[in-house]
Amino acid sequence: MRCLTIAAKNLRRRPVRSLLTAAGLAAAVAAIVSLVGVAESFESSFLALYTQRGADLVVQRRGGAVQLSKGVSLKLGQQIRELPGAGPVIGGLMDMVAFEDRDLFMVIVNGWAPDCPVLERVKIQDGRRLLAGDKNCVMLGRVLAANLGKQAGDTVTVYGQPFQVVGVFESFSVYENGAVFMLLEDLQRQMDRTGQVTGYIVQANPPGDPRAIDSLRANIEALDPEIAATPCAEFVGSLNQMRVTRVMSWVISAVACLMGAFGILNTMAMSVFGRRCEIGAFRAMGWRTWRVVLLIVEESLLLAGAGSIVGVAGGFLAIVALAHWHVTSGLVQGDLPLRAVCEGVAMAALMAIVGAAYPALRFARLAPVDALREG
Amino acid sequence: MTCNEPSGGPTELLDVRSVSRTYDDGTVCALKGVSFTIGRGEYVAIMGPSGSGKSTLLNLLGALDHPSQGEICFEGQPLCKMRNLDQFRARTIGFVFQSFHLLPTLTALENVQIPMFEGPLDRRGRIRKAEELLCLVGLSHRLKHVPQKLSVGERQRVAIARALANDPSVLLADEPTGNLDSRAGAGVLDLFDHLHRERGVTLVVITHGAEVAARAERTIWIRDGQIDLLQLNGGAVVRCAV
Repeated sequence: MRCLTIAAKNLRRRPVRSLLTAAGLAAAVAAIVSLVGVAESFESSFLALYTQRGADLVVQRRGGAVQLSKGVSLKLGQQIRELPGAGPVIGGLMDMVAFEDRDLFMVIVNGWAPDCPVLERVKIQDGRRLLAGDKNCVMLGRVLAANLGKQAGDTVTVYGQPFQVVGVFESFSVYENGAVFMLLEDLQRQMDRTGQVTGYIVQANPPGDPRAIDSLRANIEALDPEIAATPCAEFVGSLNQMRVTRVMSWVISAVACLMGAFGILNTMAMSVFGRRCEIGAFRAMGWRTWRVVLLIVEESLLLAGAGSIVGVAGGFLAIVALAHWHVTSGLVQGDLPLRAVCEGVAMAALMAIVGAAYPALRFARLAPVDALREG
Repeated sequence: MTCNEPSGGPTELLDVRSVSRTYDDGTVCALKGVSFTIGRGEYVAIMGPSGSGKSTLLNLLGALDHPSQGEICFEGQPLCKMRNLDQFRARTIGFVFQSFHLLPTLTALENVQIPMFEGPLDRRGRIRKAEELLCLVGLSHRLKHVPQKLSVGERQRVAIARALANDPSVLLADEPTGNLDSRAGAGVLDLFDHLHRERGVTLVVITHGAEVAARAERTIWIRDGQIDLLQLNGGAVVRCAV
């Protein structure tokens, strides 16, 4: 028999209490896994938008957030192309629209030049690509098309105007699968941004070379003091939307953790105080204080382990459900980031240790004779 | 109060020197200046009415509590100067409680292993030792039984086996037959006799029963926190002056 056996069998003495506590912990872990998982996936998918296109730098107006309200000129794109050490440069305009009748409130609209590699690299599922000369035409991402119930040849209303759906595409990115693509000129007209794009993604030459990237960055920023050229990961990490998502997910997770910690504290306190006499007998038999503490913490960690398994499964199911729910399917990828699992399990372990600490320490200080007498 | 003992006892194991124990800032006095010795391999019964201080004395002998005054020495070494009383209890003392204190979810074999966690044995060693001890107390056929599936007498035997887990020098038993019927009680006392005779275990037993005390070599009578009588079985009686 190991000490862990005693802990496990102690939990089996009060199965309902143990199950309820594990369920509380599972709910907290599920909240952490799903929220952190969504935030993590949100960020990594956004980063993939740039990195999978081989971009090294994102060029936008200074200001931190995605500059939807301010643009940069098309002329700047040409200037960047002419810089030494500059590879391919892709400029695009971005906006957000809503399809309220379908409960879709954050749909990305991208405007691309007809020869933009983005348009060439998506896989057409239905219809065709956008071509030069198309007017008031759009391509819909696979998920958005399904959510709107549209296919090639149908009409969709964007900015209060009818646009013909010329094709439905599939992209590697969950955002693009939930997005509208139109030609840059059309979107510039709708947004009243003639001659402007939201920003550029730029590849250094040679791609990924840190020195080339640094040099190119300095050269781009020298073109215009209001322009910031930022490495992709740094850019994505600095986006206010990402920060808010991260903070919100952690705030909600923290509340869930707190509730989980109180649950386990209550369980362990009740369990330990109800077994004072028994623990007094352990001490009388020579068990050192740390071993009693270890027993209590082990019980708590076992509950956390059970809660973690159920919680991770629950969190994953929540992410999958969000990925399939039409309101969020264009934003949530449906995968389970390892970091979210690690953070959920680590928090459960922390909750278990914190929750068990008080009753464990309380008993560590109790003389055996007092424990036996009070029991 | 001190009391001189009958002479000719065995080698001294426990030496209780003018021990007092008070509670509630001295307003309640459970023991008043008690002195006596217990020799190695001795079988001593402690008797007295309820509230006389018997259990307090047993707690002090087992290093579960500290005297307010005086000192208790084990093999000449004062307990109050020992750095690790947990280790002392684990290696030297075996407790047998009136209410057994067996873990209900653990089998007899597992319950007996509990004190061995503080000993040198590994997992297999602990299992082997627990089997031997349960065999010794006549429960080799009940190894896998949880306490609920054992009779009350069998539970006390498991508790005795557990008390012997670390080969203690002294077995302290607090009314070990108090919860048993006469037949089971007699069985436990026979076991004590066996342990005392065959294994040379030093036994200190608190009891209300004269038949229990009759098995011991010596009886210490306590009344109002003081030693009232010291009696050698079938021999000299010393009435202590108050």
